[in-house]
Amino acid sequence: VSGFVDVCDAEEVVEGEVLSFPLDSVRLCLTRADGVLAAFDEDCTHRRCSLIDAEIDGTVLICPYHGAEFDLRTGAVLIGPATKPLPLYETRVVDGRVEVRLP
Amino acid sequence: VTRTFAIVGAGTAGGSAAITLRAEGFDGRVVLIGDEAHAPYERPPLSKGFLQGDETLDELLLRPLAFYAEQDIDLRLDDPATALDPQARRLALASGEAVRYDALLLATGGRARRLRVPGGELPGVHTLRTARDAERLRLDLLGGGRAIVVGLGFIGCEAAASLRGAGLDVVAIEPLSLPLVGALGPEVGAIVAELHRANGVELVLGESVVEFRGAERVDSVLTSSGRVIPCDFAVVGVGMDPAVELAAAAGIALDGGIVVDEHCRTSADGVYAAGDVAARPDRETGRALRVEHWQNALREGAHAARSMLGATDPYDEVPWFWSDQYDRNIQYTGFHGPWDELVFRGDPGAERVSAFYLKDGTVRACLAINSPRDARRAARLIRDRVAVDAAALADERTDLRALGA
Repeated sequence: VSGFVDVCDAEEVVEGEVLSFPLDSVRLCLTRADGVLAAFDEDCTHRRCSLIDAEIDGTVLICPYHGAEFDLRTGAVLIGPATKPLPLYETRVVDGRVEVRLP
Repeated sequence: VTRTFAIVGAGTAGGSAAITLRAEGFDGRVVLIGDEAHAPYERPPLSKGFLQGDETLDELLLRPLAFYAEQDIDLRLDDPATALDPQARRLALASGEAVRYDALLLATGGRARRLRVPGGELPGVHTLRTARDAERLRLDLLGGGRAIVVGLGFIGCEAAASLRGAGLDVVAIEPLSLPLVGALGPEVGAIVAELHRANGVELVLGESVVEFRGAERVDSVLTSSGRVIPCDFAVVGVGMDPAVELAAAAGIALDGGIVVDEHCRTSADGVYAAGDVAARPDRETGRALRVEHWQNALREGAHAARSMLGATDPYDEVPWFWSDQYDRNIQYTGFHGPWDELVFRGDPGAERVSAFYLKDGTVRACLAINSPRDARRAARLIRDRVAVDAAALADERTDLRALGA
């Protein structure tokens, strides 16, 4: 089972801004939504468009290209066109560093 | 007693309505009636990824076919509705079946317009609206050679980009002076023209096609200036006509489409309409407007479904659509209509720029090239009629979310 990997300083992740980290096993994105860290897959589940330019509105992520909306707390689709949930990854902060549990 | 909700039209609006009825817990009968062979699918990729062979029809389906059985949605494909009796609340289908309904949604969409010129029906003269259209066009695309695109609206522009992407020579003929000029004005039209020229499309502007020529199939077109342009096939993108025949014959009020109110109700009791076919009076001018966008079909279809279930909130989505051409993601949000000021945010010659259409100091529409966030953030300005400062809007350092907040 893969464990947590070190990603970045927690203070780099600011509210509503998306950071991207192309790792070996996953193209990871990080944001802070309503104060809470959220780690998710860079590819929208609708047409695989990049979510780096996604709009973050509270706990909602909006795909910039085709408008699908996801709940960043659960990954659930709120509004189509997407039908599959957005993969989320567990995060934790250790000594001021963000760690993400990868599959 | 089990209620029956019938939906005529199994496109995006109809499919979205059926999905929403079940998602909202409706446990009556849902009959979704379509005149195509496919379950509801997304049309936007037909001129883009599907045409280029990057996506299959299965990938475009709103929901997998199995979904409809799982959700107990009675999907009637390839069986157009032929008559509607709103008094008796009854539909007749081409198969001969009659469907009694308690509420009905008309989501009949429309048909691609053809050019009424000699040779307009020749093989090799394509329109592009359905999956079948796109499949046929793709066969010609695979043959290569030279394609003529007639009409540089969004479908024509996307078709030209996809054909260039497949390596074909493309000549595009547009009767107006610039692509998209009617909807977007000359400044943005010039940007789009340059985009296509830079990608190798030969633009023939200010000319129309007066004849398609060929014996067995099209082999050239004749333009209004007398020029003959040889081709292997042609794609005509000159708009669509809403499919109002069923409603018209039933005596339902029309005004360039099926007239609906903010709850998607038509003039007939128990009959609703949504999507490309529905025309709603504009808040300001009272003029009935149809919105031919995919997002509108999706959201208005869902809204109609909730209205059928008794919801009373009005439909207030700001129209939005995207167009992918070459390496550009182009998004438009807002209402078509006259504007008195055009404000660019960014350099109009750059790969990334947005244009804001203002009237009386408020944003009415935004066209964003490779700037999806601008389009997204403009939607609030448009919906709330926020008074904006043009200089602030033009300044890329201004956070659009902060304007008028």
